[in-house]
Amino acid sequence: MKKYIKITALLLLGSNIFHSCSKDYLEQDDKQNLTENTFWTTRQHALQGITATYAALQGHDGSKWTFFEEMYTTLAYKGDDIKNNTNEPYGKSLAAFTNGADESGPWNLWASCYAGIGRANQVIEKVPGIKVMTEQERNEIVGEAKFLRAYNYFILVNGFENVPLVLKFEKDINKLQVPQAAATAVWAQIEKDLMEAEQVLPSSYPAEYRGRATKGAAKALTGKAYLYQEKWPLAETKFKEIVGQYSLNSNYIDNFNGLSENGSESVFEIQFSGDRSVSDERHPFNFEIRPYVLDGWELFTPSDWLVTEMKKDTLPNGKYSDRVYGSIFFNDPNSEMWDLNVPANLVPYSAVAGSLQEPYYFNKYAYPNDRGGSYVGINISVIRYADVLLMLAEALNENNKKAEAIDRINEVRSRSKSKLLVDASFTKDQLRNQIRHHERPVELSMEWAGRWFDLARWGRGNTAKETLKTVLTSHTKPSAGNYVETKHIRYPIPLKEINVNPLLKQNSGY
Amino acid sequence: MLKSKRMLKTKILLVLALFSFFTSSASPFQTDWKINGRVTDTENKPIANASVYVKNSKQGTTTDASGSFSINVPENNAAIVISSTGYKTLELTLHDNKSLSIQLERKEAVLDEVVVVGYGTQKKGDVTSAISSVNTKNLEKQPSANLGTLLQGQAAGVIVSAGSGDPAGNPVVLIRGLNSINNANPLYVVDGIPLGYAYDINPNDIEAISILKDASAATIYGSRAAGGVIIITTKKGKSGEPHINFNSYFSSHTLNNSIKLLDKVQMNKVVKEAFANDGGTPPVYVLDDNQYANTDWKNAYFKKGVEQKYDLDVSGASEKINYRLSLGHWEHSGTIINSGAKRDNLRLNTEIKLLNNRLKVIPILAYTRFNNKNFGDVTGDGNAGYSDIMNLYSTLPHKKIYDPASPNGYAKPETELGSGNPVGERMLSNSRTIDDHLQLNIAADLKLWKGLSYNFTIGKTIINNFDYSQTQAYDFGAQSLVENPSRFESRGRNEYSVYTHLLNYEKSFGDHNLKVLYGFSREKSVSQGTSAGGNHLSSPLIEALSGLIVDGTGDFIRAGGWNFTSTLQSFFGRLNYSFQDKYYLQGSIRRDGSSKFGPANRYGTFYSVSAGWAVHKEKFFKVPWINELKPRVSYGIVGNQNISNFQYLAKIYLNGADAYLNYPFGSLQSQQVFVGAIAASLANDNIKWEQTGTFNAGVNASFLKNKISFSFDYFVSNTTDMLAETPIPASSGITVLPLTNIADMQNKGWESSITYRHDSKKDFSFDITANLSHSVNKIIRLGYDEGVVADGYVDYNNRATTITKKGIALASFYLYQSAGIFKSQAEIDAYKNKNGDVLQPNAHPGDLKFLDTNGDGVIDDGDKVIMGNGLPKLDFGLTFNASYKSFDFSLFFNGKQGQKMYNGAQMFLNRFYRSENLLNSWTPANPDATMYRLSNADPNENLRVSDFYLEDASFIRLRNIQLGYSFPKKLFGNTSINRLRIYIGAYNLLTITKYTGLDPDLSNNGIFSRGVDRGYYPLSRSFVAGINLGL
Repeated sequence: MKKYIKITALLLLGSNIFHSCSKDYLEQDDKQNLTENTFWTTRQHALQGITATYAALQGHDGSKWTFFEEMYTTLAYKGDDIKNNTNEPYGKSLAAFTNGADESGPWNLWASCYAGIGRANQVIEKVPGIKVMTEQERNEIVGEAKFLRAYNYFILVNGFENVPLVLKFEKDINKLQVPQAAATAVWAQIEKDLMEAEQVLPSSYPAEYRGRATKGAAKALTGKAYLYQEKWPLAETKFKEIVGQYSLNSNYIDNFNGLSENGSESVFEIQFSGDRSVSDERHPFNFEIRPYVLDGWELFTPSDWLVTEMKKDTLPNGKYSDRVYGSIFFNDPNSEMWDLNVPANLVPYSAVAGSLQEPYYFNKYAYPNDRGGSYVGINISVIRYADVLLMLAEALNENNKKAEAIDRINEVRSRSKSKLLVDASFTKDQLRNQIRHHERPVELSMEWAGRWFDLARWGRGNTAKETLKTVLTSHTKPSAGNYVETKHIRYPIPLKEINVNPLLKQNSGY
Repeated sequence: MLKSKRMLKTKILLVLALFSFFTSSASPFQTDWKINGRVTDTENKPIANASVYVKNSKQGTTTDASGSFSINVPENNAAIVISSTGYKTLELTLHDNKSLSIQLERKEAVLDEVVVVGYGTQKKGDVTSAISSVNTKNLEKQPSANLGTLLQGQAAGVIVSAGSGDPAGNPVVLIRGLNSINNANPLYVVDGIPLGYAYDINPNDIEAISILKDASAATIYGSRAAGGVIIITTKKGKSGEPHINFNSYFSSHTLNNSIKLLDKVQMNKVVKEAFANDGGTPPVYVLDDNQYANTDWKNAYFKKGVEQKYDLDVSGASEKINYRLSLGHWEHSGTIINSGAKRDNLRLNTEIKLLNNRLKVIPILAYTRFNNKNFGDVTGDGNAGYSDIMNLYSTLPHKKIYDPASPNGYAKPETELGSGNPVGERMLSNSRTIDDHLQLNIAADLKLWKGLSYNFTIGKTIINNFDYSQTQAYDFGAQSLVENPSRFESRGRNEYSVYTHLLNYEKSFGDHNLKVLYGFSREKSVSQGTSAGGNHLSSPLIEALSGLIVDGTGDFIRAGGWNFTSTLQSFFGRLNYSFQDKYYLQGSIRRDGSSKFGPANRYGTFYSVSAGWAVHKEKFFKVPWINELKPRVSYGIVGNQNISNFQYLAKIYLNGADAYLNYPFGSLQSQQVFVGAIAASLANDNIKWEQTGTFNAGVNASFLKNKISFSFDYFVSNTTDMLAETPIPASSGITVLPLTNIADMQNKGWESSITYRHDSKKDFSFDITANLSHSVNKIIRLGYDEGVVADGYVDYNNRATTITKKGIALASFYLYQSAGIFKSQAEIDAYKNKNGDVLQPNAHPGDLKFLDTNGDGVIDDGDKVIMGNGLPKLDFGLTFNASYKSFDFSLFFNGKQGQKMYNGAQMFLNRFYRSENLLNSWTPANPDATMYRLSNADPNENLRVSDFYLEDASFIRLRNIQLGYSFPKKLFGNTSINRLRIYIGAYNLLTITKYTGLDPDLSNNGIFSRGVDRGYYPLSRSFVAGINLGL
C-alpha cells in the first residue's frame, strides 16, 4: 500500500515538473510602448511623428542643457562677436581653437541634426501610407519633414562640411555605417528637399499650429542655401519671392523678448514654451548671458570688436540706435537690463556698474517674459525677416545692384532709427564689407547659427574670399593666434562618431 | 499561468493528505528509567542546549544552562544520543538507571562542517568549487545593520566598497572584481529565493552566508550568476526551551574626514590673485574683507550622528516544530542635516516535521520597513555630475545662512553673491522613501524512499515603494527660486513569485557515493507603479496631492507610471559523485528561458564540471602535520540576463511628461506643448545571453591538527557577448542606444584565505584570519574594431577621465601626463618640439607642464595615456579574535592596494576657489609649490584631465575594534539570565592612506566611472557600546 502511495505521489510530482514547459510563460507583452506594427496608422500618429521631428531642433535628447551648453556654444563661440567666459568649460577649447575631435559640443550638434534627419526620414517614408488623412495634409506633413531635413543638413554641411547623406531610416544595425558624401551632393539634396517642401507647405497655419514650417520659411532657407553657395542670382530671385510677405517688428527687441513670437518678422523659430503643463520646454537663456550681479552665469559676453562696431551704429544725432540698446548692456546712461525679480525691474547700467566683472553684456533674450519658474520659454529665432533683407542686400550687391541693396539695408536700419546709408558713399566692395562686418553682426549678433557660419562661408567662398585668421586677428579674437586656416574652418568629425563608423574620414587637421 | 499554479497547490495538498493518512502513531513505552545527567565539554564547561534523545524514538530533551538534563528512557531501548553544534555526537547504551556525566568532544575536523550550496548543502570536505563560507561569528561583532558593509573583508574575493556614508545608501559588492560591463552585481539567494539584493535583511537573522565564486558552484543559478552568488540562510529555532536574545548597540558618529576649506578672507585673497594673474577684474564681493558674513557652512550642514539597533528574538524547538521570531529596529540619524534612515524587521521562521519526520514544512515570513531620508548622491555612469555635498563645499563663505526676517528663517544671498543657500534648500525640501518588503516562503521537503527526496518551494516577495518629496517655497536668488510649495509622489509595487521543484537522490554503494539533483523553477516579476505631482500646492500645510492647483501656465500637475512583467523558466540538475571519499566529481547544468530575449534566443544553457582529490586520504601520503590537502579544479559557464525588458521589440517612444519628443506650437508666448512619438531605437531580436566561462583551480589544506586552515584559488574567466548599450553612428538618427552583445572581457585573479586557531585549554585563546585577493580585467572586444567608451566625466559632457577599449582594463584612466610646474618663462620658451615651436604657448610660469607623449610635436588628445583604474590590485581583510577568561577582544582591518582615484572633488574645489590647497599655489615667491598658479581664465588648461588629479587610493583601515566582557553565570543565580555580555568598540577608527580626498573607499555603482571621486556623503567614524543578553 505504502509503495502505491509513493508511486502516486511521484507521478503527481512528475507531472507537475514536466507539464509546464509551455512557451506562453515566457511570452510577455510590452504594456508601455507602441510598436511599429501598430504605429503610423492614424492622423494623430502623423502629427506625433512630425512633432517629434521638430523636437530634435531642441537637441537630440530634448535637454535644455544639450541645446544651450552644447549646440549653442558650438555654433556661437568661434565667432568674432563672442567672448566666452574661460572659467567655464563648455566650448572653451572650440573658442580657443585648441579643441580636439573628442569635444562634446560638435558631437551633440551632429547627433541633434541627425536625430532630426532620422525622424524626418521616418515621416517621409511612413506618412504617405496613412490613408485616413487627406492627401493635402499628408503632403504638408511630408513637406515639413523635408524642410526640417534640409535645415539639419544645412547646419551639418556648414559646420562639418563632410557628412554622410542619410535619406532612409535604417533599421538594420549592420547597415548603419554610411560614408561621407561630397558637400555638393548634400547641397543638392538641401535644394531638392526645400523645393519639394515649398510646393506643398501652406503659407500660414492656424494660430494653434503657428511655428510650423511655412512656404515662406522654405523659400527663405532656399535663398540662404543659394547665398551660401554663392548662387547670387538664384538667391536674389528666391528672396524676392518673400519680400513684402513679412514685415519688421517696429521694436527691435520684440524679436528677443517673447512678445511677438512667430510674429510678423518671424520666418522660422525654434519653439520653446513657458507652459509646463505637458512637459518642460524651457531654456536657460536668460541666465546664460546675464552678469552675476543680475543673477546670471555670464557664460559669454560681446567681444570688444562687436561693441566697437555697435557704437558706430548711430542715429543722425549721434546717439546709439535701438538695435545697439537692444543687443548690449553697456556703460551708457540709457542702457538697461531686466533683473529676475518677480515682478522684474529695469536696472540701469550705472546701478550695477561697480559690481560687474565684464564691461558689457548681451541683452538679447535676457528678458523675464514667458518665465516658467526660473527658465524661459522664449523662442529662438532661426531666420527672421531682417536677416532675409540683409541676405537679399548681399545678393543684390554681388549682382551689381548696389542701390537696391542699400535700400534693403536701410529698411533694416530705419527700424532701429540708424542713420541711413547713402549709395554714393559705398563702392561695391565697401558695401560688401559694410554688410559683412557691420550690418550683419550689428543686426544679428549672437543669434542662432549666425556669425560663425557667415565667417566660414566668406572664408570658404570665391567671392572676395577672406582669410579667417586675418579677420579674427583684426577683430581681436583673443585666440586668433591659434587659428589654423585649413583646420578650424570646420568642426572635427566627432571622435565618438568615427569610433563607431570607420568609414568616416576625419576633417583636415584634426 | 494562474490556473496551473492553483492546480499545483491542490496537488501538493493532496500528497500531504495522503501521507498523513497512512502515518501511524508511535507505539507506547513500557517501563521507563529516569536518567539524570550533565553534559560538559572536555574542559568541564557545561554545554547548554545540547540535545539528548532516546535512540530511535521521538523522546528527547535539551540541557539547561548548567548542562544538566533529565530524561525517561524505556528499559527495553536504553540508548541515548547526545548532540550539540560544534561537538561530536555521542551515543550511549545504558545498562542501569543512574546519573551520567557526559563529556562531548569538540569536532576537530572542520571538514564535517556543512556548506550551503545552490539548492542544498554539502559537507565542506566534499566541495570541489570555489565557495567561501563567511564566519557569521565575526559578523556578529560588527556594529552595522547593512549586510554589504558586513561582508567587507570577510571573504577572499569579495570586494566591497563603502559606497557612501549615507545611512540610507548601500555599499557596492563585487565578487572577483568587475566581470561584466553590464551588471557586475552578485545574485543574492535568501532561504532559497533568488533576489537581486538582500539589504532588507536584518544581519541578526543571518545563520550562514555562502559565497559561490566560480562557475562550478554558481552554474546552478545559471543565467543570473555571472556576478557570483551570495547565499544567505536565516536562523531557525534550536532545540530546547524557548530562548530569548536581546542585542543592542548604540553608536555615535562623527565625520571621518573633511576637506579643509578657505574662509572668506583667505578666499578673497586667492580670488583676487587669480584675477590679477589674468589681468581681469575680480568679482566685487572679494574686494572688501570687512563686508559680508564669514560662514562655516560645513558646521551648519554636518552634525553628529546617532545610530541605534535593537534586536529581540525568541526561539525554541521541540521535536516536531521549531520556531524563531525576531524583531529588529535600527536607526541612524545621519551626519548631514535632514538625512538618515530607519529600518524595522520582523521575521518568523518555522519548521514543522510531519509524517514521522519524513516531511518537513518550512514556512518563513519576513517583513521589512525602510524609512529613508534621501540624499542626492551621484549614482551610475555618464554625466552623473557631482554629489549634493559639493554644492555645500562650493558655497561662498560670504553668504549668510540664517535671516530672522525671512519667512522661512533662511537668508537670501546678496545678489552679487549669486543664488543658493544649501542649508535652507536642504531643510525646506523633504525627500522620503518608505518601502515595505514582504517575503513569504513555504518549503516542503519530503523523503520519498531510499535516498530519494522531493522539495517544493514557493516564494513570494512583495515590495511596495513609496517616495515623496515636498518642497516649501523659497527664494534664495533667481537660480534657487521655488515659487510655490510643491509635491511629488511615486508608488511602485513589485511582485516577484518563484516556485521550485527539486528531486534529490542520494545513494552510497560500496566506495561509491552518488548525489543527484534535478530541479525545475519558474519566476515571474511584475512591476507596476504610478508617479504624480505638481509644482503648486495651494498651501504649504497640505501634504497630499489633492492640494495641487494649476494657476497660470507655469504650473503643472503631471502623472506617470510603469507596468512590466518578466518571466524566467528553468530546468537544472547536478550530479555529485565521490569514490572512497577521495576522488570527487561534480557536474551541473541549467537551462534558462527568459522573457527578456526574443523568441529566437530565449533559452540559454549553462553547465559546469569540477573535480577534487583528497590527497591526504591516500595511503602514500604520510605527512603527519598536514591534516587536509585537497586540490580541485573546475570549469563552467554562467550567464547574465540583467537587461531591461522588450529590447527585442521595435518600440515607438511616447512619453507625455518628458520633453524629449515634445514640441510647442502656437502663437502665444506660453504655447501649448504637443506630444511627439517616433521610433528612436532599434529593435534587436538578435540579442542573446551574456556568458561567462570560468576556469578555477584551487586547493584546500589544513595543518597542525587543523589549527591552520588554508585555501587558495586561481581563476580565469572569459565573459563573452556582454550585453550593453552599444554606441552606434549618430548619423542613423537613433538616439536611444540599442543593447547588443557588444563585448568580450577577460578577468583573472587569485584569492587566498588562511586561518589560525589557537584553542588552548587555558583561559586564553585566539584566532586570526586573513583574506587576500587579486583580480585584473581586460577588454578583449568592444563593439566595432576600435570601439571606445569614454566616461567618468568630471564636467557636464566634458572632461572624460576614463576610457574602455580593446586590450586594456575596464574604465582605465586616460589622462594627460603632467611633468611639474613651469618655474619661469624661459622654461616655457625652451619647451619646444622638433620644429622649434613652443609646445605650450599659452602657459605662464606656474602652469602645469604636459608631456607630448606621442612625440608628434603638439599637445593634444593623442597625448593622453592609460594610467591604471579604480579597482584594487589587492583587497584584504584581517580579523583577529581573542578571549581571556570573561573578556573577548576583536580587531578587524580591511584594505585595498593599487586602486587609483581621480580626485574630481578636489578639482571642483580648486576651480571654485574653496580648497585650502590654493593658499599654497605657485607664485614667483613660492617657486617650489606643488599646486599650480591661480588663474581664472586658465589659458593653459591646468584643469584638463591629467594625472595631477589622479591619486593612489590604497588604504588600510581599522574597521572595527571591540572589547567585550561576559558576566560570569554565577552572578545571575536563579534568574533566568544565562548570558550577558557588554562591549565597547570603535568603527572606522583609523585609516592609513595617501589619498587626499574625502575617502579612498567611496564609490558608486558606475562601471565605466569607477574610481572617479565626485564627492559623496562622507563616511563617519563611530564609537559603539552594546549589550548581548540571553534568557
